[in-house]
Amino acid sequence: MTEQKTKKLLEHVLVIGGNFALLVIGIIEPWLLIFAAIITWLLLGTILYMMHRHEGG
Amino acid sequence: MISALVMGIYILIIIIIAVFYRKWAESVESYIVAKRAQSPWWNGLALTATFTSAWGILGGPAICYTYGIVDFVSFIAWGAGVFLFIWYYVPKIRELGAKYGAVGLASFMELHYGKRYVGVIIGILSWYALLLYVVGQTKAIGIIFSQATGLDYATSVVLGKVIALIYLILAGLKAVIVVDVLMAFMMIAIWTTCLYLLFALGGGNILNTVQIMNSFDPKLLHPPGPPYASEPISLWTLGFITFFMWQFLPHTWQNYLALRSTKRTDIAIFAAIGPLSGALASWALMLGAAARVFLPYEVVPDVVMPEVFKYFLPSLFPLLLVGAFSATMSTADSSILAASTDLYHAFKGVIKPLEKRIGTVNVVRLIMLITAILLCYFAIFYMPEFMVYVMILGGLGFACALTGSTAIGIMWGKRDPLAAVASTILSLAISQILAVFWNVQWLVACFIGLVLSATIYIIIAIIRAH
Repeated sequence: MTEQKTKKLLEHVLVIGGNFALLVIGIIEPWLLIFAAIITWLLLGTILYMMHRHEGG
Repeated sequence: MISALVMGIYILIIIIIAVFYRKWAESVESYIVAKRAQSPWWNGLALTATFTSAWGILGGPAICYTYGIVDFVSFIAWGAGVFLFIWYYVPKIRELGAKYGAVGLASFMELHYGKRYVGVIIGILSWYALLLYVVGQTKAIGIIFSQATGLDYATSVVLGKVIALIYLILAGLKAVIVVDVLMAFMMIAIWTTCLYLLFALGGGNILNTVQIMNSFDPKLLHPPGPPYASEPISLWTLGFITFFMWQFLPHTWQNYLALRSTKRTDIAIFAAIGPLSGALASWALMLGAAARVFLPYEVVPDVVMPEVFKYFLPSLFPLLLVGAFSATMSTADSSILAASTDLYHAFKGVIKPLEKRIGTVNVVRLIMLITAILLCYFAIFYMPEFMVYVMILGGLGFACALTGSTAIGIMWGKRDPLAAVASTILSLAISQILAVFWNVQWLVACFIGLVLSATIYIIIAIIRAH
């Protein structure tokens, strides 16, 4: 149960933190978003997929 | 001539796809939500195409040509909103939608709140808001089609709508998804070409391009204030929140409801692909800003992308037209289907005799036809400024007004039908009055609508619960 909770928390940190990082990059050096956005979303999707790939339907 | 030929071949492929999938019109479940069995890959690509209008290929670069890369906010903040929305809300919408047997926003709301009047009011509002939103897309289709074929604007508007109607009427959502995937690839081809040009302009090194742009005018890459008369930081914050709500607009509900499962692996794929057009469109936007430096002559902002292609890559100009046509068409087709489904739901009691006579699928088709005729009329005869204005409020304004009834009402245990309807109508009315009569900046007006909608819902729900 504790492991499940840690996993869930990590997910929230990744999803919200990853997207929030884009917002920060957008304020500091906006042009970097042309690479940062695609990398962030594909990477987040891949990590989340890997975290859940052993779960059943 | 070449543009017309390329466009003709492209349209022929679209029609062949529609004919191939025509059997998907056999039932309402199949016609409107594609049997709730679509893979996250196809559905994600279709969703990303639906989300992007011609703004991602023509309008956005025009803004960036004029003001620097300020319009990144519209795409990246929106993309972040898509990711968060898909991860947190789509599983719930898909799960409840399947449980209720819902086929769109209006039917979902009616079944979720258990009152017929919720479905009627949300259905009518949804149709109205989408109609206003799609008029802009219809105009864009007319302009692009006219440029490609040389036909006059009015004929182009009608022809563009006829093409959309062919695949919508033949196969419903399944055809929309497959055609939208094709269109997504056309848009990706355009955006990749933009990235290639960004590298090529700096002699193969994008850092050179950035340096040249910075030396020409530092404001191009660090705009001091966006064209929406607001500070970048506030626009990011407002944009981030309001664009999250954008995902509740009815034209993408079919995609959420059509997803094959709520397994987190499927949702992860859907979340990664759904916002991609936001990331890729930034390549076109950056090129729009770069055109200020690298184009040897000044152009009217609206035609900056056609001019860039004509100057640097003339042989790929037809591809730009096809890409822009895809961007507008992929938004318009989903919107017509969603608007018509919601209007059918609002009036399904009244039109029961007709439904018995010709069947539900044909009633939806008839409403789509009427909606398309109205869209053509408005696109041909109304003033352009008015179109743009109502399109913004009709889309984002309505999405924000739905905050109480969707974002809160779906997740919160207190389901109150009166709160759902009151929060939607009051916040929509107040935000429109603020924008139209008090000249409040449109994004701020939408944000006020969002806060109002949430507050009204919570207050009414708590009061009535006691």
